[in-house]
Amino acid sequence: MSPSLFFNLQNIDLLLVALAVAGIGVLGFSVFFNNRQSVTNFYFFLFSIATIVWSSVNYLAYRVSNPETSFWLFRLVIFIATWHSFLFFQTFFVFPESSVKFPRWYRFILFPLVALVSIMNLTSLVFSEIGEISSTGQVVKIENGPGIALFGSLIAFLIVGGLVMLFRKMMKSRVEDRKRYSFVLMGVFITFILIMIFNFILPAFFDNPRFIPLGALFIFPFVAFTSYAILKHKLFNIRVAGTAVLVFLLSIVTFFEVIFAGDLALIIYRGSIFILVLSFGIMLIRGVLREVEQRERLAELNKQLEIAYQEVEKLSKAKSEFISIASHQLRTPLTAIKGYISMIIEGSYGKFAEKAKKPLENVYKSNERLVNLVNDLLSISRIESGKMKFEPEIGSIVEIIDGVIFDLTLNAEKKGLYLKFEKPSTPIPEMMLDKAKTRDIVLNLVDNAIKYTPTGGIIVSTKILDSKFQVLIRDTGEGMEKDEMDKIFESFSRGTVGVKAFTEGAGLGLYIARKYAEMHGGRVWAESEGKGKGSTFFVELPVK
Amino acid sequence: MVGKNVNILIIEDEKTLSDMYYDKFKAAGFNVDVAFSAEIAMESLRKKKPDLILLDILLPRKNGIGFLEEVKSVADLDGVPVVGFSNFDDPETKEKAFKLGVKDYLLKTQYTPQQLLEKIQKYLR
Repeated sequence: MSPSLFFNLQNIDLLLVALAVAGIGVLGFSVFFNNRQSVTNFYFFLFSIATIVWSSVNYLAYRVSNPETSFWLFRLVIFIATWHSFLFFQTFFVFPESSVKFPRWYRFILFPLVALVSIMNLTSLVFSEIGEISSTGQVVKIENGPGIALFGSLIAFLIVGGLVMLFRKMMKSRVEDRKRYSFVLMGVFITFILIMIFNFILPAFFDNPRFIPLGALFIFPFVAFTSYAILKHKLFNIRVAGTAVLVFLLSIVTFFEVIFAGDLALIIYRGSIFILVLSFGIMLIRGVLREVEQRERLAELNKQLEIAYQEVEKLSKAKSEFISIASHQLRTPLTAIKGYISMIIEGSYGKFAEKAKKPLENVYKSNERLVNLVNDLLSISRIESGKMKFEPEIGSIVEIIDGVIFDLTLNAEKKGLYLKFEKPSTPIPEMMLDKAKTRDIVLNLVDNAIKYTPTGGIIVSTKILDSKFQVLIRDTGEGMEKDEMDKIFESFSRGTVGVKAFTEGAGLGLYIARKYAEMHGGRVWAESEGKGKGSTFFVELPVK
Repeated sequence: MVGKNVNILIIEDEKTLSDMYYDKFKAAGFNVDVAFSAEIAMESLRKKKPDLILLDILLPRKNGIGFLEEVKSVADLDGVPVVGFSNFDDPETKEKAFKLGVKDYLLKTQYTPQQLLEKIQKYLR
């Protein structure tokens, strides 16, 4: 048999069934795999399966030439039609929620009634007997039993109910959802009007079953409108519509191949290809879907991260502002204490008892510590919020070290320590420095050395290495263990000696020194041969 | 007497501090005027042109920056040296103050009144 002969008009209805089956199948699978947790998607999937089964059995009932088989297939058609309508109702009952609790009337009245009517449809209560058989052996007329009215009423209730529910949900929905729902509503409305007329009213009441095999055709409006809503308006939030359409087209093409196959071997061969295409197609849809989901999850995470980052930025800014204002508030009383005490000591407010001098000086010194602590806190806050400006200019580091030694010599002498600067024998070239910050680096390191050296003293020296300049601050203090050396440049950290023997300082000076050195592209570190052997602090800055 | 016949206007809203600086500068021989706000300071400037203005930056209503902008617009006050003097050492504010012509921007807690007195000497010549 040549393909053109095999493919005669009679096969058009088969093609229509195939198109509808493939279309609704792809649609159902896409919706289901898009969100397996959603009951709406799940019932839509069941509904699409029921549609496929119904279309196929409906087609078979028409094609089978054995009247008895055909008659039973018709009974099976209305059995499936009952569940088909019920699933239609159920889909729009839950639509568009992800989870729904069914009420008691639903579980104890509607569901049993549907089950009962579907079983009744298999008995002679609905289709009582064959009315007429055509010359080719097909059933063309069926005698109805009394149950046909109950079946008809139930179907009508389920379909009209489903439509009404969809309509009401559409009216209550947001504007952007309404447009999507309206397409579905239009599609199902046209589909069921067609089915009611051609598959139920005409054959049941006008003895005209001619259009029954075209049942699948009537599903097209629903498939077309729903697909359009998915593609155009993102119904069901479907993200793989393109892939689904591709799979659908491939399935159709391979199905055509089956139809055009001339012999059984070719039918089996092409049939297998069709099944393979369909299976791989579904796998492809699932794969693409998974990828899309991952991408969406990433995008969502990205969004959350951005929000979190903004929050952190806001908090960090608030913290900096708070510290800035709080520092100002703290400094005002500190200024008053410093000013008044200094003026009392200077004698601005008249003579005071000689023995009060020492306590007054102690108050002054304590106050100075607070002043420095507030300054350090503010500096750290600025460093950490990135507000600290780096302002390099040409300057002499030797001059800076000289200045620091000059300022701190008195402090060292008070503790009975020596503080020496071994100046380099060759002149050191001027380099790009943020002078104030470089001064703070050296000052903090020397000040730290004075604090933690009980006897002996401190020697500051310099070294030039290639394009780097080093300042070495060597003390005769307690020295440090290795793990301590790594920690002391963190904020609020003091060496164990610091905790044990001295209370002055909050451990911020070294951290600030490190940060300032890093701003220059340099570094600070400490070396010690161990406890009791003194330490050497290094500052290394690039010569630019 | 370092401050003999020198007129100084101290703009400071914190009474404890303005009293302290008043005592110090008075004792050093200055003619001291104290203003608790930028508005009062402008009023005082209309009556008497000082030799130096010591300006706090965080003031009620109009702050030190606003004051500097206003002073700049008055031609007569152009040559009067202004020294910014605050515990608020926000880098941006500092930069603005320098752009508006302050001779210096000092952090109050870093100076005793005596040190402040020494520091401003150079702006009085």
